[in-house]
Amino acid sequence: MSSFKVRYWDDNPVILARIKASCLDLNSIYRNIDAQSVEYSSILSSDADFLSSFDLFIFDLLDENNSKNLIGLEILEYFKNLHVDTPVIVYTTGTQSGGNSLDLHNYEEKYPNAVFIKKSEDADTKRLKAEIEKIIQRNLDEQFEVESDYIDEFKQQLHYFGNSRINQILFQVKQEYKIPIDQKVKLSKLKSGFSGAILFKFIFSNTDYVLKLSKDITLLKSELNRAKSYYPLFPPKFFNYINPTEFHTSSNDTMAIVIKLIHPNKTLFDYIRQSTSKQNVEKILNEVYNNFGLKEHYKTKTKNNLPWTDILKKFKNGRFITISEVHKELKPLLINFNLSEIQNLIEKDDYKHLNAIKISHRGTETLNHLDLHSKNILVQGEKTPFLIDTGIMDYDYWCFDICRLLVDLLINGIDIDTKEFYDINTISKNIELGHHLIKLEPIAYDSKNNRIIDAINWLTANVSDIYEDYFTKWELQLGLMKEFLQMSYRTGTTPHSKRTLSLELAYICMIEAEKNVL
Amino acid sequence: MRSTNKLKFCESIGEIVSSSKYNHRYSNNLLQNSFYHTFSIYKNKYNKSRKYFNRLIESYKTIINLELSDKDENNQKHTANKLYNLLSSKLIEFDIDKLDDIGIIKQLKKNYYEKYKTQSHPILETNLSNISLTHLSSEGLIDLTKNGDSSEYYNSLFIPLSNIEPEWKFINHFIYTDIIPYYKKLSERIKTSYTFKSDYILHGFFESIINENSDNLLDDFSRQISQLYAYPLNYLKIKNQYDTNQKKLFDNLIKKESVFNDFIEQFPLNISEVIESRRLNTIFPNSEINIDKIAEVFYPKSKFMKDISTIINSIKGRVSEEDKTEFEAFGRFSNVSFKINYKTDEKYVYLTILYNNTNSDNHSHKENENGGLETMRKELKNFGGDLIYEPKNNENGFFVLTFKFLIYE
Repeated sequence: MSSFKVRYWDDNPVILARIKASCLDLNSIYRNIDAQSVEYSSILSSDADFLSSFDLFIFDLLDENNSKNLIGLEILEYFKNLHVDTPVIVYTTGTQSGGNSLDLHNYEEKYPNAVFIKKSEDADTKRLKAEIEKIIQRNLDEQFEVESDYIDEFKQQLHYFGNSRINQILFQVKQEYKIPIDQKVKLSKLKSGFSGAILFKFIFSNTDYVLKLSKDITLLKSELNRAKSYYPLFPPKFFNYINPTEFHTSSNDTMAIVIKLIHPNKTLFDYIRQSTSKQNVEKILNEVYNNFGLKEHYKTKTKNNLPWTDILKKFKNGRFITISEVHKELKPLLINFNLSEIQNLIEKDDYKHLNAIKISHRGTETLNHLDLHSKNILVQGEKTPFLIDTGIMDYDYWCFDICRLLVDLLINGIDIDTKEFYDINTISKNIELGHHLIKLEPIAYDSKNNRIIDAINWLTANVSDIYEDYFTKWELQLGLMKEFLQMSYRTGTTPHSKRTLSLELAYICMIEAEKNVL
Repeated sequence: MRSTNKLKFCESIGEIVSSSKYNHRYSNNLLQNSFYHTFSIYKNKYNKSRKYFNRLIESYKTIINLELSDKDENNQKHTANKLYNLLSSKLIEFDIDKLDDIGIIKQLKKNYYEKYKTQSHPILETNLSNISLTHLSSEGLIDLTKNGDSSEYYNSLFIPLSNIEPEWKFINHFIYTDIIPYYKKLSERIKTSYTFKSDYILHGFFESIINENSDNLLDDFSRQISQLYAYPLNYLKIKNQYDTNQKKLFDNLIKKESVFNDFIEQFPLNISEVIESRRLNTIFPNSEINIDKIAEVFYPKSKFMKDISTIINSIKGRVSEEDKTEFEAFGRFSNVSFKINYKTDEKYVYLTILYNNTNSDNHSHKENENGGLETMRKELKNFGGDLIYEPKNNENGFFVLTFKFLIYE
């Protein structure tokens, strides 16, 4: 850090010694803190430019030794008149000559640049130190260099968070990883999700790390906590290091976490598409589910039993409106979709034999990833899979993970990167494909999507084996229905053609599940 | 000593010790003997005469200003100071011998006002707060251990300690003259009262500063002060005990809003103020409260506040389910008729609280002597009063409770 200049005044030499000790402590962390005591008269006789060249003033309110005046207030007023907006910490007993208490709250409102701390509540100077540290953190030098192809996008992200926040976070990250204080962190941009968090890559000790920053602290905290408590419960071969430390800005409005980056990092989605043979696709899926993979995990990490109607709980309690809105929008493209029948099942647990009164079946809760689409499984080399985006892991209905993977492969995989992907004239043909999937029947090759079809076929052929203890076809089909419904309102990522397809397939899921429930 | 002229001893002991200086040292043997005889006079219950103590104090003023040894194993300085404080304390005990509990509390309040309410930074508070060293972080302590007096942190250790011995002498003398004799004179009933012992948790603290054993907190702290004054880096060895003692003395006794200062500010009790603050008119819409011009009494405010809560809780436990629900929802008992009145005589205020529409199950529980009303009675007795009540409701359906309070005059 370039020199951070602090000037302080107090009428009590002991308090001066305490302020000095606080600054020395902070200097051992931040370096270049130039802290010196001054006479208040020198502050009151300086001009605005000179005063503005300092980064922080700390002073007492009352001069008990000589003038018996409230010098601190005189200085604050002087700063106000000269428009000096250097931060100020007023370190005071909060009394005036004669012993009457001062209402510090009033002064806080009047002088917004000043923070008031009562000495009597701070004998160990913890508060004083914390306040000085906050101001130091806002003044940190640039802690990073940009190393990215997406320079414009990067600038946009920086603008959103502000350099100061990123500097504060990176300063702590550097301390955590013992990166020398003067060394800048080389940041490059990674593709971010839609959660509002942004992802940067940095390299330390030949290892790539992801720095995930978010202003939604609650969400990121919960992500970290879930990852900390649930990730270790997944099979060790999926494990990816997450640093348990939370990194916060001084004003606590931004948080970051650090995750080890899997490198080289091909997604399962790309791996499948780029595979040259059916054997390669099956090999990697085998690796995901068998050989101490997810199959054994789902078998052992279980909790309670849930009523089958919980499969669709996401749309209950007034939340069906999302589907009604999608229906309104896509109505001209829909063929067989029946909104009211779907609504009845979701809200009244009733569609012919699928009736909560007639069927009291309960399904097992397993520890799920809960966002297991094919881009959240990374493949390293030829075989090792990793799970990423582990922030919402939790126990839930047994079929949720595989349903998400199947629906993702079908909706986002078929015809990807071709004009047909967006073409509403493909809906009928794709309904047919989807229908096979729902009935767990093999889909025939179509020459363009063969590897995706291999993956879907492997999953539908093996699903009853993967979940051998819990599997029923109709529960799986209701799980697929839930996923198709969710896909139908992903307006940002999924074109109309595919969203319409999703609604139609959701409806078919319901019909097939009802047939199989008996 | 029995055959010598005690008064002469008291008068001359300062001079004798001063003149025993040889080779830059005072005779240890003579000092030990003088201390022994002084302590005998202090302890002897027949020595009730102020004149011995006045003379001794004058002599010890000379002795404590001599350059005595302060080596740990032979701490003449520490012993001389301790004796000076004990003698000064004794003299105050003579002065206040005739005071009763109310007189003692009044005098303590007067002392408190003079020492704390007339200046912006009360000197006692500032002095003891100044010698706190908890601002030295682990970084600072590590650096001091490594670099000693050339550490950057040395001044942050040295400056607070630079005047520590005279500053502590002043505080210690204040404790011996303005607090301890008054505490000793307070009746056992007050010292062991619920308020003093359990609410303010002061009994144990005071016993630790007046006992004559080796673990006396003031002696212990004085020794630590000497160690720090002689060599500030000793702090690295005694940090934990020193910080604990400093904090105990500061929080319990010396800071402006210390536990003890808060305790003495509990008196006198202004009954009208408490009743108004508890908004009894709102809790009991059907109430008659006649307490105009009621005298101030000797009972802790905080305890009376609790007593009022106990009564409200007792009513809540004895009204109908319907009335209880009303209280929980709206904070009032519409169906309870509630009255407060008082009478007074020369010595006591009798505050009577009456309320009806509560069940008349027996209010005294032999098997549960610590039950609400019995505990209240015990505490009132500790402060010279009483609680008078019949266990059952009277013929008009009212439960009648009379607080007998000692007038604070």
